[in-house]
Amino acid sequence: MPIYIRFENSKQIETTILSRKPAGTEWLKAPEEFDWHKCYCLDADNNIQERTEDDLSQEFVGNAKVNAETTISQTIDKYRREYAGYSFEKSESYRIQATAARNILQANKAGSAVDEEDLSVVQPLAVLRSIDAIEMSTLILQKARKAKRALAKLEECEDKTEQELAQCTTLEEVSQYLNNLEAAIESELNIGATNG
Amino acid sequence: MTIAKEAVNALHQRLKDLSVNASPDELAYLSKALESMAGQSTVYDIVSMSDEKLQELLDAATQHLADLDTSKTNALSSLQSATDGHVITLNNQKDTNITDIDTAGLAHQQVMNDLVAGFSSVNDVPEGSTILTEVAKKNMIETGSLPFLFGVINRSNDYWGYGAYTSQLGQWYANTSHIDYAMQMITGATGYTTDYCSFYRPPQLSFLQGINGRFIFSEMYAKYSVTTNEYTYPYALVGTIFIKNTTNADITRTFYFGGSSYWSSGYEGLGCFVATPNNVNDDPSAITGITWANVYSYASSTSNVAGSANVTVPANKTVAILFYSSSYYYTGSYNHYTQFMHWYIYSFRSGFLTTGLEVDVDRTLRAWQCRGLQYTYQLWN
Repeated sequence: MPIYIRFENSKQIETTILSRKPAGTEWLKAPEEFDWHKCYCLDADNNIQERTEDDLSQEFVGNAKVNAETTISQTIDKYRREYAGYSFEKSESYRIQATAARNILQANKAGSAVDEEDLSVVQPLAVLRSIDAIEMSTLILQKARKAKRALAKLEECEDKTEQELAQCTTLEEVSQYLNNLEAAIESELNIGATNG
Repeated sequence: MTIAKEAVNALHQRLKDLSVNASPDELAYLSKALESMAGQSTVYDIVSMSDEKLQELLDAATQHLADLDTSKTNALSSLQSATDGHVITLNNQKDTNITDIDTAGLAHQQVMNDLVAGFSSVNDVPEGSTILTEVAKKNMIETGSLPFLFGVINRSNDYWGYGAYTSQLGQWYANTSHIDYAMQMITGATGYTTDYCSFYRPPQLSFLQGINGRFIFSEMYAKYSVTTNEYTYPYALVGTIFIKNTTNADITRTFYFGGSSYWSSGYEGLGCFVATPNNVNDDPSAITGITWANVYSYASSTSNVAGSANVTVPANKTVAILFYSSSYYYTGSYNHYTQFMHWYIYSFRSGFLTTGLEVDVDRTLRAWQCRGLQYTYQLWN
C-alpha cells in the first residue's frame, strides 16, 4: 500500500497510507525507504529529503521562542496591572486621585486656597483613615510615584528579555531563561519600589 | 270388580234357588230384571267370560315375561362378549402407544445429550467461573451498536496535581514506540501508579451514530495561563475501536477521521495507528504481543484537519485502531490561553464496515472496564 506525504512550505505536514493519491497538488508519493519516525522536506529541486536534526531543532527552538514571548508579555502584564490598576476604570481612578493630590499639595505649598473639586476627591479618603487631606494627598502621591517607577522598570524588562531571548539557541536555554525570568522581575521590582 | 263378581254369583245362586219353587210371575220379573242389568248376555256369562279372559291375559303376560327374561339373558351375554373384545383392543393399543412414546422420547433425549455434549466441548466452564454472568452483561450492548472508547488525557493543560506530564511518554503523532502509552492510558492497562494518568474527560464507552457511523467531539476553552506547557503539551484526545475480521482473508478498508492539532514542541500533532496481535482469535491465550503501525500523521497547527487512511484487518484477527489528536492553541490574552479541541470519526458504518468485519464488543468492554491489566496485549487474551 503506497504512502503519500503532503508538504507545506517544503516541510512534511501530513502523511497517510492510501491505495490512491489524495486530491491536491501538495501530495507526493513517499520514497521507498520512508520511515514514519523521520521527518522529510523538499529540496530546491522538489526532491524529498530527510530533514536534519539541526533543521528540526531550529524549528522547535523558534516555536519555543514565540511561546516564550507570549509568556513574557503575560507575566509582565500581570505586574503592570498590579501598579497601573487591574482595569481601565481603576487606572482612571488612580489618575484622578493623583492629579487632585498633586494640586492640593501645590496649593498648600504656595499658601493659596485649595480647589474644592480636588478636595472632594481626597477629603473622603482622609476621613476614612482619620488623617487630614494633606497627609492623604502625600500618601496618594507616594503610591503614584512608586507605580510610575515600576511601570518604567517593566518596560525596560520587556525590551531586555526580548533581546536576551533572541540570543537563546537551544530549547534548554529558552526553558532555563523563562524559569529565571519571573523571579528576576519580582526581585527587580521590589528593589526599585523600596529605593523609590 | 271383586264385589260385583260376588254380587253376580250370589244373584245367580238366588235365581237357581228361586227357580225351583218360584211362581211364574216371579220368574218372569226376575228374568226381566236380570236382562235389564246385563243386556243380551247374562251376568253369569259375563263373569264366566272374564275369568277366561283373565286366564288368557295371565298366560300371555307370563309368556312375555318368560320371553323378556330369555332375551335379556341373551343380550347381556352379547354385551359382555363385545365389551371384552373392546377392552382387549384398547389394552393392545395402549401398549403400542407406550412403546411409540418411549421410542420417540429416547430419540429426543439422544438429541439433547448430543447438544449438551457439544455445548460442553466449546464452553468448558470451570468451577467458580464468572463467565456466565459476564455473558449476561454483554447483552448490555445492543445488536448493531458500534461501541468504542474515547477520553481526553491531561498532559499539562491543567498544570497542577498528580498525573500531568510533558515529554516523558514521548511524541505520539507519528511514533509507534510511544503510541502504546496512549493505549495504556485510555484502557487502563498500565503498570504506572499516579504518573501519566490524569484525565480531563475520563475514558467513556461511546457509540458511533446514525447510518453513517460518526462521532464528533468539540470544545473551546480558556485556561488560566501559568506556563506555556499548558498548550505545548496540551490535552491528548484519544479513542480506540476494536475491529474483528471473521473471515479467512485479510480485509483492507478506508478509515475516516479528523480533529485539531497544535505544533510547537513536537509533542502535539495528530496521528492514527493500528495495533495488530501476533495471533488469531481462535486461540486468544496464544496472543502475547501487539504490533503498532502508523497509518496517518499530521505535524502542523490547525483547528481541524480531516484525514483518511487504509487499514488492513488480517484474517481471523481483531485489530485496534487508535486515533490521537491534540488541542489547538488559538490565542492568549488577560492571563488566559484559549484553545480548541476536536476529535472525530465518520463514515465508519457506511464506509468502513463490510461483510466479515464487525466491532469486537468483547475486547471493547474489556478495555472499558479496566480489569487490572498491566499490558495492552492482555486486552486480546
